[in-house]
Amino acid sequence: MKLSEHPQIIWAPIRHHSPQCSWQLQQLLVREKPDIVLIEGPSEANSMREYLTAKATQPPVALYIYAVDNRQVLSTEDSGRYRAYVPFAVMSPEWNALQLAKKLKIPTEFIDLPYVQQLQHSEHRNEQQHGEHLLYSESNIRKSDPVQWLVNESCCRNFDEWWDRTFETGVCYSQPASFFQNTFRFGELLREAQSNIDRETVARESYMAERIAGHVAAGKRCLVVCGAFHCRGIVQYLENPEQRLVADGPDITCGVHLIPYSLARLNSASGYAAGMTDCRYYQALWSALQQSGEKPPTAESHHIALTAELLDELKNNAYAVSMPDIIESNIMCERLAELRGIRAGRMELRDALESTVIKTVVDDTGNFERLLDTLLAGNCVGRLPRNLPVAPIVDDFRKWCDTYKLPLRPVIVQEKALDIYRKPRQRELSRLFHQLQFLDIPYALFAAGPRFAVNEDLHRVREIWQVKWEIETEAALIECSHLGDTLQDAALHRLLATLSSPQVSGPQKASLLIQALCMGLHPVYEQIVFAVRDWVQTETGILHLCKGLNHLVVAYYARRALAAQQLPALESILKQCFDRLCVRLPWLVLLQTDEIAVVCESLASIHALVTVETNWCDRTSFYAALTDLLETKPAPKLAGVCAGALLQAQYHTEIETGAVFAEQFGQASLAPEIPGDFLQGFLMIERGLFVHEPSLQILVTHFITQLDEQEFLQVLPSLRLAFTYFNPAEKQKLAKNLVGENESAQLLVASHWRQHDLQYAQALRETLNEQLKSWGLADE
Amino acid sequence: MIDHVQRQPAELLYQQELDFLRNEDTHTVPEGWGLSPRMVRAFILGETVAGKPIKRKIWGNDDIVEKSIVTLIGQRGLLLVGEPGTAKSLLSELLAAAISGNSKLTVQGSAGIVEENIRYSWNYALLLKNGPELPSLIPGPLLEAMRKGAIMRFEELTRCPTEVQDNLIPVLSDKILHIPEIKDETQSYLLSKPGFNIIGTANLKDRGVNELSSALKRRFNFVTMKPLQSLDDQKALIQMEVNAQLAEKGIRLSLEDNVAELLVTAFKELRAGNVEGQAIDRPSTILSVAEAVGVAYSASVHAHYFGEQTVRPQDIASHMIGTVIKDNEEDVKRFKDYLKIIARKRKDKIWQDFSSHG
Repeated sequence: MKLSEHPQIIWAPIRHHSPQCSWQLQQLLVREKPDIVLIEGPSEANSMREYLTAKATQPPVALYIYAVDNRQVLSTEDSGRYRAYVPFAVMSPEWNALQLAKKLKIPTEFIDLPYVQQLQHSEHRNEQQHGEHLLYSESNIRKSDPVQWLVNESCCRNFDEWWDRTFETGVCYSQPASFFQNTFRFGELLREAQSNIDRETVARESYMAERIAGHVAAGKRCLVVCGAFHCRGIVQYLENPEQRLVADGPDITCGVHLIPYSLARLNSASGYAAGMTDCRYYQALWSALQQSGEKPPTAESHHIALTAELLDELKNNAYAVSMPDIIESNIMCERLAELRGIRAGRMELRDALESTVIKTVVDDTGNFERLLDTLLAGNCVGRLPRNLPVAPIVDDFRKWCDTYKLPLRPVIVQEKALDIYRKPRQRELSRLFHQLQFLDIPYALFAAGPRFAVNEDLHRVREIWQVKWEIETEAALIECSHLGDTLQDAALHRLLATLSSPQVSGPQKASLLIQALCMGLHPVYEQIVFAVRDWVQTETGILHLCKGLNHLVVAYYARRALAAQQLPALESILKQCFDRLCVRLPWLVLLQTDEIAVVCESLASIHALVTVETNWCDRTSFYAALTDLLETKPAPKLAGVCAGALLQAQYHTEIETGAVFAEQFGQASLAPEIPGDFLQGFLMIERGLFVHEPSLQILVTHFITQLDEQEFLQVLPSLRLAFTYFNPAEKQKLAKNLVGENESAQLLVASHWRQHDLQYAQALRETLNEQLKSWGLADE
Repeated sequence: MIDHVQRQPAELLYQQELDFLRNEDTHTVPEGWGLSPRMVRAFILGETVAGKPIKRKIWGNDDIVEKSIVTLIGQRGLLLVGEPGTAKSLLSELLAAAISGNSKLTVQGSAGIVEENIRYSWNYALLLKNGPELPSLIPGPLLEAMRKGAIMRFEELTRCPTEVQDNLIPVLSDKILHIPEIKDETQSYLLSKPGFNIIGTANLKDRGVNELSSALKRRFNFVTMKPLQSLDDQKALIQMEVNAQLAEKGIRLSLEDNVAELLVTAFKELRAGNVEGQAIDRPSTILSVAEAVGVAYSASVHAHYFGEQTVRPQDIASHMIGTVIKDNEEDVKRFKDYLKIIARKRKDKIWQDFSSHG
């Protein structure tokens, strides 16, 4: 097949984001002056062409397209929320086709199958539910046999290097016709190697053929800008209309918006297969191409400019680079190209920089390559015109901002202190901020306050937020459009998607439930509770149950701040979790230290719950479980918690508690940390009682005095750790009880060492160390 | 070609190839070079030139070879950096042979080296008789290379004291060697001829022995040689090298495919410290392809003179101790542990034979 077989169609087979393709396309467009330019791009985006070509638009920008399949027309298994991106960089051929056509007053049109119909035929639909799916992906091309063969035969390191050598920079094409003939051949080669063309591609090519055929029938000369791979398919369906796959699109809600994008996101090193590697390099190449007019530019010019820019950036990254090194790298780049028989390109520049900049005999190539990846990825961010249609979620956000008088323009960071316990309006605002934070919208940053979802800083009563509007704020909101039209909707759907993920553990689900309360998702609370209840009913791991309970208890205690008073479902889950724990407690097996801490925290929480008015907690079964657990000889800290709780709930007498003390202190000779660990657990429950109850103090004193001097010295560090539970006032009280008021004052004063004494002690230690050294008894 | 020698330098070993390439060379040859850069690459990386296949001599580092050739065209010296056994010295020898037709202008760096070993020394009888003048001077490799416009090789550059290394600074920046002992101003210096340059090598394992000064670093381009990644390439290289060495010694034995595969797999696992997901202690010794060639060659020679005329897996295991695993008792223990794990995990005969040594 030849490109000239359809005289009314001028073909421009391209690679997405290739500057050389853009440049050749410009030459072709100016020469041919077609009646219309037809571009491979989803048809829904035709409404966005006006904004794409607006003066205020500065790439990189992207079309963000989403579809919401509420009625599960496409699949009953998926979440039904899909999204995809079509990015445009300053060097993208599609972008330049739109710009130049506008300048030449030639109409343009996106002719690809609408996104919802692409979804309908896609075999990889589920990949478009999460992450950043680019609509025009190269992943299949990169892995294809012909590409692998071409790469190997040409001794290139990867497909990008082969492309550079063959099309981008390695060869000089003076005529667009010869360039596009070669890209077309490349597309043919890829096509021939594919035995089966997937249904989505067939549907897309059929659709594109139909759109082109319509214009051709109207007598127009069309310039078709599409991926090289598709040319042959489109021609096939142009010539054989009966083979076209025609289907009506499914009845699904969809939308398209324009968002600012960044070169870093476009960079294929970020993992997006349709992106370009080293975008900044290609952007520089594109600038050079544009400045060159109709003659192809020399590679030196943009290499010199780019390496000069890199000089300071490399210096900032601890590479001692000098101007001679940069000059040498440019010279070496040209020589490498000459040796390879090509024009210098990206890889020659990278190779040259690697040889001239790295100056260590340690293997630093990996680090340097990573740094070059970052520096050459670029950090340019796009801009959009102000008159863009507003996405519903952005509209919702703006309404909230108006209600609470929050900034909607770039201003300095505002700090908001929210009294979430006492002021309902501020609690409402806190919920809004939590929703934005959960959706990863760069607007409100949580600086301080109670972190209910992670069980930290619960003693705080105010939340401090730092609020700042940025350009990315609304762009990030638009990217949540597939999740819902309002912030609450979007937060709920993201939460439900996270809850259904197999990677999310039970305790994390419980934490998400608290997060839902923080976000004020009370009206839709039942949906979230369902997922957590399901987990609690099936969970058998006691540790997971403990962790989950530790989260759920927060909701109970902070029910006022979280407005959880009227949520019977929460109490019901807590009860289920409590019941299951009581059953499983006596079956605790060997635990790690960090696991013991989690279980102890849970037991202390449950003990606190059953001692307040919680009629849904069965005291008897809990303390029976603790009695059984204590009999299994658990870890000392756990035994301490059990003994403390049983004593406080009067399930144990002081005599029985004394027996447990005797048992634990009796093991001091085996493991000196046991008494201290036990006491730590005991004081978690009985700290208050211990300070005021002389009988407990006498009990502990009795066992400590039973230890001989050697044992006491060994036990002392863990005992000290246990006594750190007391605050200074409690220590004072304890001291008074134990040694009387006068001596206690002396004791506590004596612990404040003067600077002079500390220095003297240090000098003594150094003298001793010197003496020991001479005997070979101390470290050098 | 000189016969009956243990090892021939590259320019003699590949004399015919070099002559052929010189005759077929139609590309621009830099001044002072024997071959054009493209022919130098063809000589080292192998290529079919005018219908004649040229043997590949360096594996798996094509871009490194290209960078090295290009560096030598310029004003800066070339410093080949890499782990032991990554063919740094071989590449420097091949480059010198292809560019200058002489790879023998070499300095072996060591802690005991002095300036005279590099630049020049004096014939003391003539010095006493005639005083310091050019005829009394005994040229070192550096002076010789500058005089002839050739490549000088400096092996293990970082093992030399810094003050000795710094002798190269004026040579690399101004291409001049001062001979201050000679009073006659017209003879008290030597300017280098076109084609002169220096290839240094530095070992990653010896790093920090004598750090290069910043001034000297600036005058070198650093090129890092990577160990061969592909197991198939390693296997092919080992077989080629061992079989060539055996043929040279007149030993009619060759390393079989499956034994070579076993050897590279064992080396890979010991290097990685992992056998099919199970972590093992890595030996502290160097496990490069060059070491693997050494093991296979020793095992082959042993099999020829004392064995069953075929290299068996247990011979490989037995020669790994002594050839690669040397005087470190811990390494011997680590290797024996590896054999025990292999015996447990792999039931095929070849691996069972291999592990039976332990």
